[in-house]
Amino acid sequence: MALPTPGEWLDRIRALPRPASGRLRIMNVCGGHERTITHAGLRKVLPDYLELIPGPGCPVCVCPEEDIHAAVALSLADDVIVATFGDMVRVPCNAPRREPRSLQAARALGGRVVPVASPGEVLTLARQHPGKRVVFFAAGFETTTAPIAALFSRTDLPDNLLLLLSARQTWPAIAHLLADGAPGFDALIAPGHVATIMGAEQWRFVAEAHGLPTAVAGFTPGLILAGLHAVLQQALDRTPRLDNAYPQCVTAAGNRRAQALMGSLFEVTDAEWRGIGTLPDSGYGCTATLAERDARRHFPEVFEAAYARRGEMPPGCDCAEVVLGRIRPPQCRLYGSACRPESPVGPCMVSEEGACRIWWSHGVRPSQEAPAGRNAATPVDAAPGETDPGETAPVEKAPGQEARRWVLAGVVQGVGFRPFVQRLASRLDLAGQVRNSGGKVVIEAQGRADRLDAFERALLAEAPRLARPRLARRETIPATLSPPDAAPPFVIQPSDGEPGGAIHLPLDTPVCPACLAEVHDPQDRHHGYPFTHCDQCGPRYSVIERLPYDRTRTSLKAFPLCPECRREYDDPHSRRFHAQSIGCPQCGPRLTFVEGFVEGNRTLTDPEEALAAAIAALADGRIVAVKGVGGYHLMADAGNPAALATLRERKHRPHKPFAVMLPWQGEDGLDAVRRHARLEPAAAEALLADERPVVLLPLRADHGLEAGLAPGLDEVGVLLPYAPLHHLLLEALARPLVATSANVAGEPIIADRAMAEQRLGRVPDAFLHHDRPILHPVDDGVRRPIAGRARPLRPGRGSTPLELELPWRLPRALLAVGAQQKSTVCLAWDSRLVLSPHIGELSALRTQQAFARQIETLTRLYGVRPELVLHDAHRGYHSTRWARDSGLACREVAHHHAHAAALCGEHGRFREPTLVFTWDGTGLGPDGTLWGGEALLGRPGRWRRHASFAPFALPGGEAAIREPWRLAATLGWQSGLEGPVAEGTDEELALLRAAWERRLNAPACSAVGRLFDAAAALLVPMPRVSHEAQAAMWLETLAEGDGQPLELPHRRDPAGVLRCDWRPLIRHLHDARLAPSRRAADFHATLVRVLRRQAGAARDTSGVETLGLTGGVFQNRRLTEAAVAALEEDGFTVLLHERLPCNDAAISVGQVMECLARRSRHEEE
Amino acid sequence: MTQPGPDTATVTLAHGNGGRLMRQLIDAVFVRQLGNPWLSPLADAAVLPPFPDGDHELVFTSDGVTVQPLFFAGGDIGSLAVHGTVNDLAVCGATPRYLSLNAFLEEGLPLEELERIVASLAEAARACDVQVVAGDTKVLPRGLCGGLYFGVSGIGTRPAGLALGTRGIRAGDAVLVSGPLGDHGIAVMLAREEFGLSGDLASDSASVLPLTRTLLTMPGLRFMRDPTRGGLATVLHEVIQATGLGVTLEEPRLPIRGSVRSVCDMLGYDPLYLACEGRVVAIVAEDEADEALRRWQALPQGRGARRVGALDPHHDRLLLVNEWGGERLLQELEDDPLPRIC
Repeated sequence: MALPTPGEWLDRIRALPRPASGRLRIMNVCGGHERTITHAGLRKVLPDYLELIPGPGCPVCVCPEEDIHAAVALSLADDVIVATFGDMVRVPCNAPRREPRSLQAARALGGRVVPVASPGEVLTLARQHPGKRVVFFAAGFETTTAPIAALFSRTDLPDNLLLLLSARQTWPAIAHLLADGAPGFDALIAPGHVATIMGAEQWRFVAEAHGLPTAVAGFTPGLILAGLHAVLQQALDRTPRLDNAYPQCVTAAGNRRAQALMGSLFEVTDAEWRGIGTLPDSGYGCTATLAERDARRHFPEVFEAAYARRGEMPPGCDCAEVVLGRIRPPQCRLYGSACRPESPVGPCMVSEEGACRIWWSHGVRPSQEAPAGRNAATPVDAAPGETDPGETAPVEKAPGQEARRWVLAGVVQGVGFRPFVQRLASRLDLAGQVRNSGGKVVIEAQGRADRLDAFERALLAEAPRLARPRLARRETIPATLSPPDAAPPFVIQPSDGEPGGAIHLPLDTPVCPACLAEVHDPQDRHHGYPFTHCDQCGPRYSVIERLPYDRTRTSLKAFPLCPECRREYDDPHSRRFHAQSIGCPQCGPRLTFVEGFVEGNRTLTDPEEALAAAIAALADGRIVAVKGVGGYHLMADAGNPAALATLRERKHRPHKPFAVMLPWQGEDGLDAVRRHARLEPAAAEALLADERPVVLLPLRADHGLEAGLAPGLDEVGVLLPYAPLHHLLLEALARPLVATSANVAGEPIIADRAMAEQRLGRVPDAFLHHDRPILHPVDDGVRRPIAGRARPLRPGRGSTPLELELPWRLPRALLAVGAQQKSTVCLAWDSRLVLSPHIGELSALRTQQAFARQIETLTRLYGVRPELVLHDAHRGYHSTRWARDSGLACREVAHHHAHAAALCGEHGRFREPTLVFTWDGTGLGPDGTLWGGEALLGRPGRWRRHASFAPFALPGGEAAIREPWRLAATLGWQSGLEGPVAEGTDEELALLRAAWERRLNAPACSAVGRLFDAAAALLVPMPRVSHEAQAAMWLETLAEGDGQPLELPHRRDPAGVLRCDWRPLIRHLHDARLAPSRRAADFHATLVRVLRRQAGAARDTSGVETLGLTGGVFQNRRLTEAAVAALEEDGFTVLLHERLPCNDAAISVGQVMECLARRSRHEEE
Repeated sequence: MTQPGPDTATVTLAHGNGGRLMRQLIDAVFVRQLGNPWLSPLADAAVLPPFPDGDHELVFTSDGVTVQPLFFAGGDIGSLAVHGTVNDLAVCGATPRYLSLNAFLEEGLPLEELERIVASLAEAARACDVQVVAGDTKVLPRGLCGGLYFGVSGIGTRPAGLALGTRGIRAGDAVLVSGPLGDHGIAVMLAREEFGLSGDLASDSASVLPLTRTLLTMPGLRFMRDPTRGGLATVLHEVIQATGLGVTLEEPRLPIRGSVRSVCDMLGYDPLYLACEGRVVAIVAEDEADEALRRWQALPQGRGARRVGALDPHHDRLLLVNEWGGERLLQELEDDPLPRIC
């Protein structure tokens, strides 16, 4: 029996009545269908109530970005050829500008890419190139997957043939659309080719579970029309079922042999669809049978990097919307403008089966709406009279109204974002709602399209100062509000549910000018109130109990709002609208003053009296422990030498400089700072930043501050008031106040009253407490201007938890526990890394407890459970012991590798070779000796020790570090100096000499930090240092003039490491004919010369052009600035830290970066 | 002075061959100095008399004694061999009765040195009122044993039912030490390295029997230990492990000689980890601590006794609190301590 012709099918369709619903939207799921429909002009000849919608019908179009990134990277590898179906070659991905964005572009750069038309060609290719690995990058639906399976089931395949499988099943995409509830179509013609393999039955669920007419259709115009006729008939009969309109090729069960073959080699997996996300059971992966040929397993590094790209789309590309049938090609903003076949942006414009490409080649241009004009492709505005609100009717739209949903990620909670959204929506006359969901903000708004556009732009452009929003998702949703209701208020909904891992912790923020003005305004109810805040300022991290950030989950929950505060909290036009840390004298936290705590005391619970008493005590030269944002400060009049001396004595802190808080004076608040210190722009900016750190500033000659603040130094740590309480204290006293963290030496900052009174005891004369609990103690951050930037020395309040983005996604969550001194910890998961505040030195029990608490805090707040712990190589570090006792899998990262990786990671340098100088005070090297003067060449995960210093002994181990004169003596002896090189009694020197000669308890090291110690002790009497880096700081201060560098000899050791011989330098430092200030300058200049020499040698042998300087030694401003200038003069690019300290606080970050980079090369344990 | 029987002045391998030379050596050196009714038959085993009363139980211990150098200020390997074993018995509450002695002699050891060592050993045994009742002698080739070492076993008796051990330890109990810490470790180290300076530094090697005996009658006595290898810190770590309680030590109370401290400072050692050979660490119920201290301080050997800390239920570490309340954790001894300062 002859099949009906297309004309006959058309007549049969036309003979059928219009369905009661008024129209029938029919989706196809096959690029072949769409091409036939378009090129045969079927839309033009069909009745206008039939709308034909192109759906997810092109495997190239849904191939995820990550696979393309990987294929591009593979094609550029030396021994790899990438073979792929023709269309794939041109599909662009969103690579950084300098990198190739498609296989085609990679080929232009020398990448080996061979387009193939069939799997058989790949086999030929592999045989022709036995010396190369041929990777078959195979994207396809089931129709293509079957022949791929056939190829790989052969037993005669050459070993060099590998498979990068990007195969997808079609039905899950339709299931995904149907699950949405508003699929956007009323009937489906199912793909005939797929059904020949998988069987027609696969599609039955569309009819039976979702009630949509369904027919499997072939590919000629006649066969498509047969399928359309079948679904129209079903719709008219109101009996949705599965028709097989392609019985010539398709059976109910499909090709069982092909299915069995596929099943033996491939397994069904969840899979990523470009721009759509992960769909369950929608793809194929290689089973263990094929493991040896699975490119994903062969090149784990490449895929690790590529998976980090997951979800990235070229900006503006709407291919995903086109693929899902939500918009038609011309509705994409890029269609025909940025995106054309010759310069495609998205795959739909590339692939022969992509809807955009098909429509474009049929002549549809942006001005037109659809290939046929008449059958409009924009979502149909059906005339109201024609609409049947029956079961298949689409969700109705209010005329002229649209509705959209946005999901914003990034820093959007605890920063006044929801109130901002509400104000913005009101301004633009939009209805809708906003809510916190997980760590994100979800906004739904309805209104005029142009207003919605403006709204979206403003959401990002006008976001509150503290917010860092990122648009995670945008979608069109049904406009459910009819016009008369279209202007209801835009509401803030309560937070929904518990947070996921995507949350961002808001940071503690200094009082804003508006709140400060209220504190100063005698008419305002906040007048004189030390805890005045709004949605733009106040404590955040330090008071958060858990997330999402709402008052009930902060330590302010103990302070129910009074009616007036409540009114402001509820008023969308108030700065305190939904601001969580607000309060007033009626309802908020209160001050208490306690004096003479030790011997019978006086307690003032009236807040105003308490404040006045504290001010009087300070004015009187007494020491007051003042509770602030992250903990207590010990405060004292910085102009009172007796007070300073008492504080030093009671705190057992003879030398370490005290930070000083200066009054906020003048227009920019910095007048008082300028009176005492020299202020460069970077430092001024840092002082005023939200972090409000301590900034180390060079003192003016006429600084007028007490020498006892920073004995022996010409620099002082300055900070500005940040809590209203600080402003009140400093305004009343109008003089500099010492503001040093209140702790017992070596222990963490104290943050609660009981602990303050118990542990500080007699150190302060009095306490100024408040009753707002500090849940997460955090020190002030510290910065120092070095080489044009205020670089962090200590990560603290207002900048931590500090977040960095990783270049690719981690397969499992990591916890990095850092080093021993300047301890920090890092939590890393997905592509996020979060660095804790400074914890302190892990020798003290309380610091160890704080360390454990910090880990608990981060994992709990972010809801992340680490699976692998990274630790230093030093077994004696508390952090290492903790890691090894944690019961979790552990991995060791050598100290200086971590330093180098932290610097490269901060700058995103994971691939390019870098020479990193890691100069610090000692850390355990991978060879089991103590390092600290190393030049490491390579990249994270792969370092080679290029240069170092000749090793020397540390007599007495840690004792040599506490007492630099020992090192001065032994380095002097080693340099051939005799006689009294350094201090010490004859007996001490004899004992030292004996111990040194026998190498008794004298581990070898190569640390520059220790050379600083020795140098300082050779120049100034220095029996014992009371804090680490004291010797180096004195030496830096001592230096005057540029200094004359010595040329130190270098020679290669048996391992090929270039070793600097420091002995001439030690001899020079001992030369008493030169002034100590000159010798100190010479010392710095000589180290710069060493850097140049070692860098030059590395360039000669490896061509490296980029250098990094890290490790605690580079906290030295003189050395670092001279080094940067000299190395840049030599033509190097020099990297310094910008967001991380160069000292051991960065070790935890470096541990993550190092592990991230090398993970793929090391087996899992 | 009696010359030893052998015709050579050093130990030779022939002294270990079981023949005439060996016989002469044993008679001349060991039996002559240590002889008693049980040892003198030189049988393969000693036959010991029964203890007449049923109120005592036997306590048995064994110890290997090596030290370099063999002689040091305040002692030598001979006295150390007796004190080590006697003290192990004493801190268990026992009265030492009998020792056995295995001597491992290196080829080339001057017999004059052996003579002095055994004389010292005999003197120490007499002072402790113990008898060496069995023994053995081996000679090892040159280079294998640093001159000489001893294997010593000891048997003692103690009143039945004496409950000493970590099980009785309670939070709040006091930690006492019987005298200055670290003397032995520093004296030996200085002698070994031939620094040529010793000043008043001498080993504390001695029997602790008087110290342990005086506390045995106190119901509040929980635990005693002689802090040998690893020092006080290591003993207390064992207590922490066994009890789950922490120990908080008060630094100003720790008895450490100035000379020991200054040498330790110079060489980067911590006296709390250095060995003592004549001290006792005792843990005593809080309310009997003063009495225990009084009893110790009444003995010549216990004049330097101090109460140094307490069992602390608030943590499970070994914590050292300094004079101004600063805290430092004392870790378990590392194999190879390396500086942690960066």
